Amino acid sequence: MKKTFLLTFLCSSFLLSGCWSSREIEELGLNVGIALDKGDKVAENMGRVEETPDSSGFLFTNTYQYVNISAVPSGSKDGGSGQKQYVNISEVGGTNHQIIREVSLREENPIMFQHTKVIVVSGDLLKDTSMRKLLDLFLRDNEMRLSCIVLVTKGSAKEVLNLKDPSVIPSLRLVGIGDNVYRSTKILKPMTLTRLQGNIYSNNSYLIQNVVSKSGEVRFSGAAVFSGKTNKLIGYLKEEDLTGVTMITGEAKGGIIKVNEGKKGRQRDFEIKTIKSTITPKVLNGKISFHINIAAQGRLSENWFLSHRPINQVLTQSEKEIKKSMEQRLTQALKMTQKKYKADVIGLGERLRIKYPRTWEKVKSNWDSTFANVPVTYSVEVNITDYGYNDPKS
Amino acid sequence: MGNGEKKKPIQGQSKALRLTGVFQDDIAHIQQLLEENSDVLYRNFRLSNTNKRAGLFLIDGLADKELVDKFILRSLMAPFSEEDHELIEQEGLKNYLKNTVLSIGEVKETNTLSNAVNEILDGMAVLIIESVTEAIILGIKKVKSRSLEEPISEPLVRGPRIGFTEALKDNTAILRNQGQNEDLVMINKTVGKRTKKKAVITYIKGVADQNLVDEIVKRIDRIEIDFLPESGYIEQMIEDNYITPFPQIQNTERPDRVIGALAEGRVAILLDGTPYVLIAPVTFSMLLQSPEDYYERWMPGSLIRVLRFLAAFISLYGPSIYISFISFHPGLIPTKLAISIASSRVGVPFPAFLEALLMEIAIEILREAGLRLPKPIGPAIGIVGGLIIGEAAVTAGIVSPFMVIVVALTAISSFAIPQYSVGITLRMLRFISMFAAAVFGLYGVILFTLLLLSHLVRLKSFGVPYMSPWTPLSIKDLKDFVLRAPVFKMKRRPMMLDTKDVRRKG
Amino acid sequence: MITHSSNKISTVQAVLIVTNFILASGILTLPRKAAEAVKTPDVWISIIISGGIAILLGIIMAKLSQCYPDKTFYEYSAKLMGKWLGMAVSICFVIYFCILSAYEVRIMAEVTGYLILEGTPSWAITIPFLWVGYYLLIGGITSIARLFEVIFPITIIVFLLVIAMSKETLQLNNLRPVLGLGFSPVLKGLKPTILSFIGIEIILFIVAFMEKPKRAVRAVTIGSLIPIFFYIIILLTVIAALSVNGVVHRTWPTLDLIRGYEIKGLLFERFESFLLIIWTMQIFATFVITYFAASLGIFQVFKVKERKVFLGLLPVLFFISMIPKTLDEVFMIGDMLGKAAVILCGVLPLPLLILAKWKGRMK
Repeated sequence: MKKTFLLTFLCSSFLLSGCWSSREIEELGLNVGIALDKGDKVAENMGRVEETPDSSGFLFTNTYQYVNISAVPSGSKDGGSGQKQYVNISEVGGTNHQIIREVSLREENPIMFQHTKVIVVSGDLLKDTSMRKLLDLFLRDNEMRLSCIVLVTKGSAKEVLNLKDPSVIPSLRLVGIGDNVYRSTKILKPMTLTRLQGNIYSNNSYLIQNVVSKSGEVRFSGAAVFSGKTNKLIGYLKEEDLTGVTMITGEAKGGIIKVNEGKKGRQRDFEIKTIKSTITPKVLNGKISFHINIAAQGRLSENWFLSHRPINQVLTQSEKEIKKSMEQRLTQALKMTQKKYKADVIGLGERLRIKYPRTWEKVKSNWDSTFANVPVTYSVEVNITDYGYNDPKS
Repeated sequence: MGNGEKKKPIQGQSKALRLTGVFQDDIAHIQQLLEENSDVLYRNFRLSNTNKRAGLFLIDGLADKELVDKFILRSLMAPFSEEDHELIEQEGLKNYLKNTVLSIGEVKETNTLSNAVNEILDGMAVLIIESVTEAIILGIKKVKSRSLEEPISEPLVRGPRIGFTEALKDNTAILRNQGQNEDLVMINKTVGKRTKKKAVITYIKGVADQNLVDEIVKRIDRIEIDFLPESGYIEQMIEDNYITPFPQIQNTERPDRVIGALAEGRVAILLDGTPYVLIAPVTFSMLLQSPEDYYERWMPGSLIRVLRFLAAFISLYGPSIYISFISFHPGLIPTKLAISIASSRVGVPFPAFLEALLMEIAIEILREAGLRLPKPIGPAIGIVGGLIIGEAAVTAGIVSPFMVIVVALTAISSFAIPQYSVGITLRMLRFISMFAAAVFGLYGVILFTLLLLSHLVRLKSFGVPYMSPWTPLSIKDLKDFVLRAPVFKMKRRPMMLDTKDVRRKG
Repeated sequence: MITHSSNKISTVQAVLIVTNFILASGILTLPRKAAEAVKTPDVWISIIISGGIAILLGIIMAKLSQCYPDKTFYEYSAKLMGKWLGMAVSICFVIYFCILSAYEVRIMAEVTGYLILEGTPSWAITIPFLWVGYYLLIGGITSIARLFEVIFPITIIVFLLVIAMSKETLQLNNLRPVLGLGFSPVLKGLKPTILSFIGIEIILFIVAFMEKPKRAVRAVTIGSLIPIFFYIIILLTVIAALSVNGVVHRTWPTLDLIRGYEIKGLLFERFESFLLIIWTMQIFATFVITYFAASLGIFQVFKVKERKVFLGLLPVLFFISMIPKTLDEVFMIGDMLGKAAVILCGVLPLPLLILAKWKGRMK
């Protein structure tokens, strides 16, 4: 009897008071992307009764993209209502968390960040504010996934999250493009929050994929260079430069290298199947130097210029051309990173740390400036393993 | 009968009245005891040419009348020869009749009135002879039994098509016939204080653990209840723990299942009047097994078993996991799934828990209704319930299509459990786990699981831990757990049963 | 049938009690604590060494208990050290187990509240957890041992699965160089890593319940090898994924490892819930066994009825678990427990063993 009473009491007490944390899925704003831009008081003030000037004086704009669930075609309902499947909402404020709470003044559903896939940060903002500060909330808070990726845009981040096509959620498209890393040498391995945090705290310089948008379309274009010390943006790498970098870091998984044999109209395409980069640090009498060896294998995938030479000559010639082209890109990449930006974003320091940990302990505090002056040599091996079919003329 | 118990069948009589040998008195006493029973037939006749009167009592409908006419009355009334009279002088009339005249298989005698009356009520013919102080009991009972049909509650694709019936003798006969084994022991027991019923405890001597048999016999002897309509009563009277949703004794209609269990060293209990035979001890994994697992080759057998464990899991946790994801942890499901679930829930007025509760209760009512309805209407319920209610509820926006899928999947899963009683257990627990999920989400589900496991590890069926062979771990017994090893590999009987003869083969 | 109904546990069960006790809250925080101390990727060497030390201590304790094979430490401590000293040490153990038990509960409530039940008050998370533990405890040591047998395979399978799926995020370079700065960082890591073997002392109390007390040494050795294996895998993967610098900045690095990846094309993309499930089960295991050890002490030292102790201890544990106000205070209690463990399980057993052997020889 006593037991039964106790049990009933316990059960009922939980049932009556329960469900503290429960919130139905459709009552949450499923956030999928965040864009951080420079502050723009006028455009975003939404007619607040009183403009509350932020005491810190620093203002920036957050744009939250969440799924407009009533516009998502589901099951029997007809898709393609023409309505956008996402809603972007922008707010201005001095810190991220504050801005999030500002949104609660405008929307009935609280925003949930567990599905946030991408954070796009405007390059202008990053030029004078460090990445660590801007993303501190997201690294500290438990809600955001560490698998969320970070992108930088040269233009307006808000625009990146705004596509012409209403049937696509822009954030998901950005993540999808990032997955194409095996198809192009111009895509960096996605910078997840996990990796970003490692970089921020180890003072390594790093690259983040740059994305541009124009009239409702987006494109991955080059990368932004960040200094390890300040975590601020110091410049951009062009798409072509990026190819060289991904080859050195080994992030390139596949892609096309186009070469010309002499004149115009004599294009050939080399499709990379495997590419391997070996960085060998050397320390001689306290002098640090590096050698980079790149070995690429692949196939001749497209050939516009049919010559009468036998195929193995064509292949040798092509290999030479490809090698030259790759070497050019390496030179360019090294020039940009070593001379222009003076930031080791190609992972040489990492190799030094592994191979010569004690040397690294000495130079790590000032590595980027050391890096700018270390001699780097490189060699490239290209091997065409497959060329489709024999050209009929040969 | 005869465990010596004498209960008066009709009140107001002093017990253990003996037959006097005075014919009128004896007959009168018996008739007095049987006074209100209109189905008792009494035949008064003269014993051949001996000048003695005799009376035969039997129950109309229970007795095989042809047998009575041909082999009792005719032999008793036919004239005795000279030699017969000599034999009568030598052996006494009673023994002479038993030895020479009554060509009946089952003959007993008794000297008390109450026993005689009990035997009559049990369907025996009772012969009272003038100046003989014992009544002769003649087994002429003919039980009305149906033919042996395929068990309805446990059909198999492959396996014998025979099932137990309501007649105890048929059932014991089936067991004898199917498992011809001189060590097959059948202990008779009478259960029920007022309305007596026969029960048989059966096991294989030399295999089953004697302690186990003794324990079961002891527990059955301890039953004190006036009437046992079905073996479920025995089950509930002898089980180890009554505060548990889990059955600790298996019931089955399938003789092959019983034989299999006996061969493993288990004990079966048969009760007259029900086709359900009890098997003890039982473990949880046994309840998810089907004899078919052994008939099919080991690979399909094992896979089907895995499937069944999966079904049990879904049936227990399906809705609660859904609730915890939808109401508590929408971040844990894939983004695209989250989006499509969210969009399908737009306009649903209830929280996921209430939605699930509504649908689950609806399904349970539907199941119960389908069961109780006359057979021809049964399928109609399925159509009304499944199609119309499901479809209409979704169209009306009361429940989301995802919930219908979850509920339907759970329902199907619970029907895939081979034992009906376990299916019910899982359904019951499912509601508790739904409550747990509604309060604490996934954490609630974990707590519920821990509570359930804590309960299960404490449970025993006749001393055998319910969760064996998982715990206490017995590597050898794992050959017949979720997976089933090839038959030739299963050389030993289950270790958990402590069988006398461990080796099964080789 | 007779053997099953006895109050004894098998050797496998003894192994699992040791293992499940050791594997607890440490799983989530060990990489951070170790990396903070070592600062190089060599933490996994530290754990191997400290594991070896732990096994050594475990063997000493097992040997000590084998001198009195059918008695728990609470019972023989009085014989060994005299009535009052023995009682004092026993009470120390009881207090230690109570606080450890409450500590585990609190850590569980913190993590659960932080990750999956934001907004639920921590008493509401704690109380049902305690009740479930109480229900299991009524069944005695055999039930506890059996529950461990049930949850252990689940733990192993889920754990290995979840870890294996993180392979995309692993960067082997983060684990290199091995011993790049010599051996001294490894030694710095010994202190935090040895504390992750708290729980090995349970062997002092379970030998009395073993069917074959002679196998106590084997039980404690295997029982600690399994956690060593777990810890090595965790340290390697977490550091490979988050890098030493990243690990230091995460409160629950192991969870972040799992939170750092998504697998597309499955029913689930995210697997931290799986880790939390097995982790909660492990915490439950540790909680129950400490709860049992504490109650055992009380009813063996003070000769009180079992059930009363079980029930009476529940509110005590609840209030202890509610004492720390912030997470930092919780971790501070953890450090205090570590110190207590070093004295009770590191320093004490060896002299006691010598004493016991000496007394045995005197007879």
